[in-house]
Amino acid sequence: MNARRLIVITVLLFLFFLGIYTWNERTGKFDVISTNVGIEVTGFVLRSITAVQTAFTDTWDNYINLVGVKEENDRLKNELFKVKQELALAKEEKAELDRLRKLVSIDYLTEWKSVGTRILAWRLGANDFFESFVLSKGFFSGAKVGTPIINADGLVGRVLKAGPYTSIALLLTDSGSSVSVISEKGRVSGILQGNGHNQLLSMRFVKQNEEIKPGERIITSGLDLSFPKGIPVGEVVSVEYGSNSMLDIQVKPLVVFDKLEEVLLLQNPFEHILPEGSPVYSPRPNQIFAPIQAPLIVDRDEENKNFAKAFNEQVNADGEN
Amino acid sequence: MVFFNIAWWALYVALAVFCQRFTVGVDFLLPGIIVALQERKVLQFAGVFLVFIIIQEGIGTMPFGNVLLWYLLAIVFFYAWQWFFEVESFTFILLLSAALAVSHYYIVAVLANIQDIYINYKALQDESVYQMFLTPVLWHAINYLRRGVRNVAQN
Repeated sequence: MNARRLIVITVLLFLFFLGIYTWNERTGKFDVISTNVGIEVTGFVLRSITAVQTAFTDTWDNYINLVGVKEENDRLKNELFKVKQELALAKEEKAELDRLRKLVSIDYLTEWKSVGTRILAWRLGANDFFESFVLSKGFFSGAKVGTPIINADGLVGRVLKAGPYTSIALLLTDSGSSVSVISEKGRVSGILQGNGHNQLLSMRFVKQNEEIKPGERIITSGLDLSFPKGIPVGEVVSVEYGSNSMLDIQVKPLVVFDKLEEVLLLQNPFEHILPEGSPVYSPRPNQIFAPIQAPLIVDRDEENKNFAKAFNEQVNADGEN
Repeated sequence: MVFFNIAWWALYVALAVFCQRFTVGVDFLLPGIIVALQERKVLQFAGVFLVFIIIQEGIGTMPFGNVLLWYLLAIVFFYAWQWFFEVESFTFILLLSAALAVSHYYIVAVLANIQDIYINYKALQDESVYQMFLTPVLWHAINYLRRGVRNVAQN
C-alpha cells in the first residue's frame, strides 16, 4: 500500500466517523441500537457464565472434595457434609433474608414500589469512565432510565442506561451525579454532587448563614420528583466557608459501595404524569464553579445623563400629544 | 465452516466480556479487531467490527463515538505499520498496541472535555498502560487459537 492510498483510506474513515457521529447526534438511532443490543448481549453473557460458574463450583464442592474418602466412612461423612452444607446454605440464606427484610421494612417504600435486583458487574470495558455497575434488570423488569437505586443503608444512585433485561447504574459518587437533598435537623437544602471513586460528596449551593453541623444526616428532599423524600444519603463530615458566600460542605455516603451485592429499584408512582425526569448525568461546566467576576463599576454621571435624556424625550413626546 | 467461524467469534465475545468484568478499563475485544484485520476477509472484518462497536458502545457509559474512532484508528495504524514490519511479528503488535493505547488516552480525554464530562485522568492513564501491555499478550493467544480455525478451513 502506498502513501497516497493510506491517506485516502484515513480521510475516508474519518469522514465515515463524522457521518455516523453526526447522524447519531441528530437521530440517536445508534445509541438506541447499541444500548438495547450491546447491554443485552453483555447481560446475557454475564448471567450465563455466572450460572455455569456457580453450577461448576457446586459440583466441585459436592463431588470432587469427597473423592478418596474411605468406603466405610462414606455414609457418615456424606451425611455430615450434607448437614454442614445445608447449614452453610441456611446461614447464607438467612443473611440474605435479613438483608432483604431490612430493605423491605424501610418505611418510605409505601408509595414507591420496589424491585430487587443483583449486581452483575462493575465498570466494564474501555469505554466506561463513570462510577457505575451493571444490573440484572432492564426496562421490561423495572429499571428505566432515572430509576432510583437504594439498599438498606440508603441511596446508591440511579439507572443511567437501560436495555430490555439489563441496565447500567450511575453511582452517587460519580462526578456527574446530582441529587436534591436536605439536612435532617436544620432542613437546609442543597445539591449533593459526587467527586469520584472513594471520595466524599459535596453539598453545594448552601448559603453561609444556614445552620448545618458535622454529624448531621442528609436525606433526599424529593423536590426534583426523581427520588422519594427522606432516603438517607450521607452524613456531614465538615463544614467550611467557601467562595461565593456559600458553605463548602463535605458529606460521607452511608452506603459502602464496595460491598454491594443486591439493591432495590424504586418505581416512581408519578412517572405517568411526569413529562420527563431530571437528567441522570449532569455535566459540570467550568463556568458554574468559576469565581464570580468583580461587579461592573457603574458610571453614575453617565447613568444620570442617560436618565435625564430619556426623561426629557418622554416629556417632549407627551407635550406633542 | 461459516457456522464454525461464527461460533468461534461468539465464544470469543463471551469470554472477552467475561474477562472485562475482572479487569477494569481494558478492552478485550481490541485484539480480536487486529486478528480480523490480519485475516483480510472483508465480510468477516465488517461483521466483527460492527458487533464489537455495538457491544462496547452499548456497555460503555461515555457518549457515542469513542470506541468507533478508536477502532477506526486501529485500521489506519494497522495499514501504516505494515510498511515497516511483518504483520504477524511481535514488534508490529507491540508498536500497534502502544499507538492504540496513546490514541485511546487522547480520544477519551478530548471527547470528555468537549462533552463536559469529568473523568479521572490518572485512571485513564493507568488503564491505557494496562491496555498497551495486555493487547500483545491477548493477540498472541487469539492468533494461536485462530491458527486452528485457519487449518480447519484449509483442510
